[in-house]
Amino acid sequence: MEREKLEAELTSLKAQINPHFLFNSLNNIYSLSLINSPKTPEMILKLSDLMRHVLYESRENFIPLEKEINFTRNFIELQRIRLSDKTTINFEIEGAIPNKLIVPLIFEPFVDNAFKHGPKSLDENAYINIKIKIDPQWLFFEVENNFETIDYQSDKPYGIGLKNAQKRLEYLYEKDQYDLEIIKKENIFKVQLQLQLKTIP
Amino acid sequence: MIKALIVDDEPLAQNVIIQFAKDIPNLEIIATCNNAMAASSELQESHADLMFLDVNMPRLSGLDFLKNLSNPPLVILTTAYTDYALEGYELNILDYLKKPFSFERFFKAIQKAEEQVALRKAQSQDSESDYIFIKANKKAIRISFDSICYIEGLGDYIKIHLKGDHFVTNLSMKKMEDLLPTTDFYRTHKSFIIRLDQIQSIVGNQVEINGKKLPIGSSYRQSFLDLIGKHFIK
Repeated sequence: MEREKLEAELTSLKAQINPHFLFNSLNNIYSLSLINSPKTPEMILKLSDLMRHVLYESRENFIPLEKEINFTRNFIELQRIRLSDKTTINFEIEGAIPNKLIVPLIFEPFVDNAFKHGPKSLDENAYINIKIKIDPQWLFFEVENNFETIDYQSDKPYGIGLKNAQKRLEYLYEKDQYDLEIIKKENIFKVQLQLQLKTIP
Repeated sequence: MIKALIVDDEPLAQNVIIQFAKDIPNLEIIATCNNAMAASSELQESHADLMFLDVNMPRLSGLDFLKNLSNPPLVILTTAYTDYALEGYELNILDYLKKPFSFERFFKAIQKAEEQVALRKAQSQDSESDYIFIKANKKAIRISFDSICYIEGLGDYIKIHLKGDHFVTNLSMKKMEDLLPTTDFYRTHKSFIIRLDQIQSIVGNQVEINGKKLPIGSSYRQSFLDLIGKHFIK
């Protein structure tokens, strides 16, 4: 009974891609197709890989790390075309990707947050740095972006997506298996997540 | 001719409208803005009949921006969200386009805009007189439109050039552009509005009026030359 309740709660917390992200991505690909951009086929493939991951592969509580990293890469590329060239985006992976498991869509809310609040608020010198370092028992994830400080005056410090991610970590990992830090300092927003990777049973 | 402004924070989304506008001769995109702030200053700067407005933008949402706008142009909302239609219509928007939208759907919205622009013009011309009074030299001076050669912007002031005379008054170029009948006058530069029947010649980037050579602004150039092209005998 208790377990069912927990499962139900977890399902409701499960990260979901914002439908507007899908429609805006489709609109951007549509725009590329109108000018016969050679990027069009590639972007359609990235979007379909991303949707396959969200709809099917992420149904389990834990999924292969490699799939999650591929998803994150596609997500970043689709976000990148929504911006002007004025934003610098770095995505770095350090270490080999081991045959381990991770909770699905755990990076997405943090990456989404960086894109939503960072570059679009700044007219220039916007950056987003995303780093994944693999130990191979532990994974270190970091996302850092700058933002226009006036934007945060009326906003809540961070949205429901970040809170849900926090709760999912609490449900699925023991206290000593992860560490999440959200740092907001001056015009810089930084999320650091350390996570013990699960071994495939 | 419908003069339109695009307000959207995504360059590729702006591009869809720019591409579609190329195939509609009566539609001219006068500016693209990445946020509400830029749109607000653009609307003060130049006359727009129509605004394509994205709802979800950083800093200030399209709807909040629209709410605070006194005397807005016609508005077509463009958004990936479906939930803003009702709120939009309460703000008297002309149409609501869900991204991505087809050329056919876009064209339908432009036809609606054309009807409205024609209606607004007819109404304003009924009530319009062919002169204004301006304050200059501590007097109220009557200026009839057909005595004007051209108007020069000087920051917060404008200089109205008549044949052999001129007056400086405290008015913005935008306000003056709105007052003048669009059939007779044309904005050719950030700082110049000319009366079309006063043009003597056009040489390169200059138009000659009343013996004066006035520059043609790069962003006004194409639409001005298109207009002139209609009368060009080759």
